[in-house]
Amino acid sequence: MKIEIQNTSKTYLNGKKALMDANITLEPGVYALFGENGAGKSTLMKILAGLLKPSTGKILVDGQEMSPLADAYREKIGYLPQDTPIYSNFTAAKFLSYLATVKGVPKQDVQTSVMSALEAVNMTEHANKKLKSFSGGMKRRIGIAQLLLNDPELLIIDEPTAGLDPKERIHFRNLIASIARKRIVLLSTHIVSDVGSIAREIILMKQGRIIKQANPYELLDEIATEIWTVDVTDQELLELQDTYQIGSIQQTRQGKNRVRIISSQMPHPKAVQDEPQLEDLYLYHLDERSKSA
Amino acid sequence: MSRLIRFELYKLCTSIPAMLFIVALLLYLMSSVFSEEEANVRAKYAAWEGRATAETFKKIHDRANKINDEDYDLDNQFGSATSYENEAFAHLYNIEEAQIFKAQGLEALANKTVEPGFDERDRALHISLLKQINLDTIRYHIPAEKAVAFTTQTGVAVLLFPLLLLIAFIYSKERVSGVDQYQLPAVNGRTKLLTAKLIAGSIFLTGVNVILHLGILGLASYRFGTIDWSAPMQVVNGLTGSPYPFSIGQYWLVSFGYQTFVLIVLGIWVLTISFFAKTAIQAILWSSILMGVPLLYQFVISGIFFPETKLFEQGILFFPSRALLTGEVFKTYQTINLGIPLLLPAAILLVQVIVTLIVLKVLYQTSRKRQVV
Repeated sequence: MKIEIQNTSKTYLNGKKALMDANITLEPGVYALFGENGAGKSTLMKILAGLLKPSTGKILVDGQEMSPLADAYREKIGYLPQDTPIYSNFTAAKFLSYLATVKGVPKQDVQTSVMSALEAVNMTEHANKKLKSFSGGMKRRIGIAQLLLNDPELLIIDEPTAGLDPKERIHFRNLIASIARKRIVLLSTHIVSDVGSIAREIILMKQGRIIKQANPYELLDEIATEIWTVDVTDQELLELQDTYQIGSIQQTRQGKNRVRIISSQMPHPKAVQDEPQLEDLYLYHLDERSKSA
Repeated sequence: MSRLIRFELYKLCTSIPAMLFIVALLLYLMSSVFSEEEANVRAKYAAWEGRATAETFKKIHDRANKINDEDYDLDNQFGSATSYENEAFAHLYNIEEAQIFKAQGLEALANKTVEPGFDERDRALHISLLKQINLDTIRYHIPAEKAVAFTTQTGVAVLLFPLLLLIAFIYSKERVSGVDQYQLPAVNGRTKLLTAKLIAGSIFLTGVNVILHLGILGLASYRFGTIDWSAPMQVVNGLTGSPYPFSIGQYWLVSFGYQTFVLIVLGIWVLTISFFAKTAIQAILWSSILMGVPLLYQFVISGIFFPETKLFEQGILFFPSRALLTGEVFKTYQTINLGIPLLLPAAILLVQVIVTLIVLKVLYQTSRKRQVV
């Protein structure tokens, strides 16, 4: 399957331009959408899920223009919204059976698809418990399970790891990596480490525009000379924070602060260049302060 | 589709308010419909069963005058028996009143000069209906009358409205909570799901109406044994001027069918409101206005808050929440001129069907293109 989003924009009735002239091509693999709140990630995903009508542009599926509202398109997709809405008086299995029916899963396959979806998110033992008794993380896992019910070719996942604990996040990452071999997975997240290692491409969005789309390693190579590490005192740290884009800060055994700095110039006499990471990439492109630095 | 409908029904039936409502409804039916005094009234009534002649009614009036005379029961030896007898008379007077209405109606129609065409057809229809009403016999009809009164007057609307509000709440909450974000991208998540909701809502409301009617029937049968439903509907309090030649039993069935249809119409309108409402509160508020305002006419001083015109009084019956009160819809002879005279109950249904078809068209069109901003 190949999906091409061409010249797609979305302007809301209040005049807000949520998405501007987006052009993306998606083929099987994981595509990670990075961007701050309001960058247009959810708008793009909702357009692909058929929940929002684009103001301009078109979507091609395997070269054919197709409306996201067409049955043939909707049969191919799974969508997980940012929140995890549920019917609280349904059990997990009943809720998934309901959604399987809504997704057009044949009657004889519903039970199997529900059980395998529950198994995929390690929720089999909770199948017959009411959703109102579930924690936020468990509900999120049910949300992820519903994605798999109709064996979609395109999975659109908005903030999938929100509410998941570290162990669940690792499990989710492995799950996505396994299902993305033959499918397109488009997901957005703020937690770049969750998906960076499995992403075929990273799509960086800012203020409604796609500012970068490339393989993670290509993107990291672009900033390879701009990542620095240095151990500094608290006073020096304050000075650096005033001047430079600061990444992570760690305490050293010597009581100093090991600081990652994003800068085109050497920020400190003792600073050494370090290997760029996805968090650096995120800050470099998406944090306003990186430009001033 | 059947699986979708089952799920939608499950949503409606398993909601705690729905279950509480149905339990309360049954308890209410059991506790309040029939009082223990009915047997005593029946005994007094039975003495007058037979031919409903002028002579019989004269005797009833004489007897009523006697027992209500100040000197009749000075020693209070008859106690509450007098009140039972008076209650029986109140029901018997309805038969006499219906006879008078029928006779006066036929006489007025016979003397009325009408133009050829609609007016002539209208008069012929009215005369034909009146002539078919059989008011010649007095049969004990109070249990049947009470059952009919319970299901055709305001009480039924008050009982059913919370269910409609429940539908508004459940479906608007679905959108507000965001569950529709799972549904809308799915292949069956738009028009098919909407159809399932509409059918499920209709089945749910029909089911409750069936429970309501069977509940009354069961309780009345349990309390009184075999009920005589054969008396004309004109013996029911408030319907003495009705032109329809139904027995109470026939009227009860017609009313059930009519109410069920109107309930489904109202359900569709309420579901439409919940479809467009932005919050559950908004859906409940709008639904309450749709149902409550036409009903308010009955409870507030109409001359102050509502215009006292025939057009308004009939027009308000076209609102489904008022048309549920079949006691009003079938109360008098009213027709609409469509070249041929169309009886008011049929005209109400016709208008509701047309409006509902328009509503459904809008609903389906919106559903196909619905967005989640």
